[in-house]
Amino acid sequence: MEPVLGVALCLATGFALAMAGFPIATGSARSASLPEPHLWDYLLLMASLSVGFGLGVFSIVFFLNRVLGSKHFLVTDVSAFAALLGIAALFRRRTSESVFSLPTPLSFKASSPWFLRLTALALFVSISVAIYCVIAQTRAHPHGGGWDAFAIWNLHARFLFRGGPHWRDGFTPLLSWSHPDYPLLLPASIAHFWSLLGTADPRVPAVIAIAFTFATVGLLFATLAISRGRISAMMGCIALLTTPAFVEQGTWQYADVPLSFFFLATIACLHLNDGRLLQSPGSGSLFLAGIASGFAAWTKNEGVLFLAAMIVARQWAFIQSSRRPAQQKVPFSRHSAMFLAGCAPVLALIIYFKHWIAPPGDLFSSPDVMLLRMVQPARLWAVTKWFGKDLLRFGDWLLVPGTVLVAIYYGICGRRGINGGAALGLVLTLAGYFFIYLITPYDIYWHLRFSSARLFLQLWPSTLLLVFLSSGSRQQEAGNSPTAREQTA
Amino acid sequence: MDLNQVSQRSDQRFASLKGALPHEGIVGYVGDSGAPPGQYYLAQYALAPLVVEYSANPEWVVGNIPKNHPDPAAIEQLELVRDFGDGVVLFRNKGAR
Repeated sequence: MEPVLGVALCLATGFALAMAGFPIATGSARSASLPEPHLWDYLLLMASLSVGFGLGVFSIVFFLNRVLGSKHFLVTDVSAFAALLGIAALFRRRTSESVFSLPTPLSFKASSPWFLRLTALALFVSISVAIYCVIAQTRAHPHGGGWDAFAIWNLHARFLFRGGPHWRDGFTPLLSWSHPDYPLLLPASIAHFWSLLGTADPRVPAVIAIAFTFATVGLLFATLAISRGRISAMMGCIALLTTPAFVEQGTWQYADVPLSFFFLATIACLHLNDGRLLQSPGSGSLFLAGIASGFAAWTKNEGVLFLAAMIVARQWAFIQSSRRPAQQKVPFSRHSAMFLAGCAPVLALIIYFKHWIAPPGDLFSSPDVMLLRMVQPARLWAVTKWFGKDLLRFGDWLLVPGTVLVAIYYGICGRRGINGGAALGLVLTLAGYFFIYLITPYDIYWHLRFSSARLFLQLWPSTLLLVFLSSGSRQQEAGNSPTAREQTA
Repeated sequence: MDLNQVSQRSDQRFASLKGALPHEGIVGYVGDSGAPPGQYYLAQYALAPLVVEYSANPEWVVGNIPKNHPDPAAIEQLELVRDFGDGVVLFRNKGAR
């Protein structure tokens, strides 16, 4: 009973947290602000966010239980759920006058029926093939798709679960090869469910991996459908699902796909917030964006880089907005405060883990050595060349690289500029990855060979979101304008 | 052999050894001479939450020697306590404190 209750609590907790960002209108307001087709998009958004946020909260609850020496997981789970429900209610009250209002959906009749059917069919086929591949892969490799699954993530989960009061033993420099400094979202959420089951069932990490994979697809669809209509949503999801590496790595039990989920969640929440900014500045979705970026940092060290990059990119966006007319200016301090309020608790947890539990990481050495490595032209050229190649092959596409197809699509259909702040955040993150390879203490080609493609994949769902947000018909743009939304609301 | 099968088999191989080891702390490890480090990673995965140190210094040392070719220098100070079969043995370091 406990495992079923645990899954339900996990999803309910994630849902409660998501409700803080996107409270649904009720009663008479509901029919005005949630046109029927968008109700499903909204529910999909909430369901997708619930998966990632629920697992994120569960990992923190488990970690705190271990730190405090408590074994009452269900009690703390229920307490966390109740607390988040309270926070959601607080945001609901604060934003009662500015419920999540959605743009007028693009009527399907506005698109050619044959194109709509073709796209829907392509999406159906893509999802079916992805489901088949995921099931086949998981059955063939129930313990994960490679070394990192059990040499890092599931090993840490075993230490957390089996270690009892000695769980810290696993985070020792003696096991530096297992990267004991890596954050614990994935291992702690796995260990949480193992504790509820009472055994280290290998199906748990497999199911969590699959859940993150399809939650990423769902989140991409929902965000695009709400913002640009379902044609763009379907095309975005087809682009993601036809990236073989994404589907394959979604079953590997690595942390890259979960990280890509939180990157996407951050940008999606920021975008949905910005979209209603001019009408009724809400703050719950910014709070959620902060939490999502915090969870990214709690998933993998690259997430810390992403968080820093997003903060810098947001500052840049604010500076840009200061050039706009006065009524379009973003309330800087409030926005920064809400974003930081979201990520601060998770960041505090990461600082505690890194400072008091984990040994130092292995990438950074003395400043002199790092500087020396950075200015070596041979290293610079090696990373540049490798990045150039991986940009075209990281997705394991068969004939034409997906990046090329998406670039062509953007060239033809990109009628809006790409969201500058979010794009800058992703570019800065990529630049950070580049820098890490320059200073790596490992053999540079070995390091690139075994990780570079996965780093590109982390950014891929967010990149697709930005590209497909930039497209959309003029009718969609009209339906999305503040004026149209005023009419809708 | 498939990595998953190796991992699963590794868990099974070390299952009986676990009962003879302390429940927490650090144990040592010796493997076949020239064996890939993956064998050691799998042993650590199977024996967690014990920390398996890749050395013969701790008091209890896990031997993972399916080919029975351990490094002679590594087992010089070790006393065989029990052979669990399938290349899994338990040593005791006579010189350990």
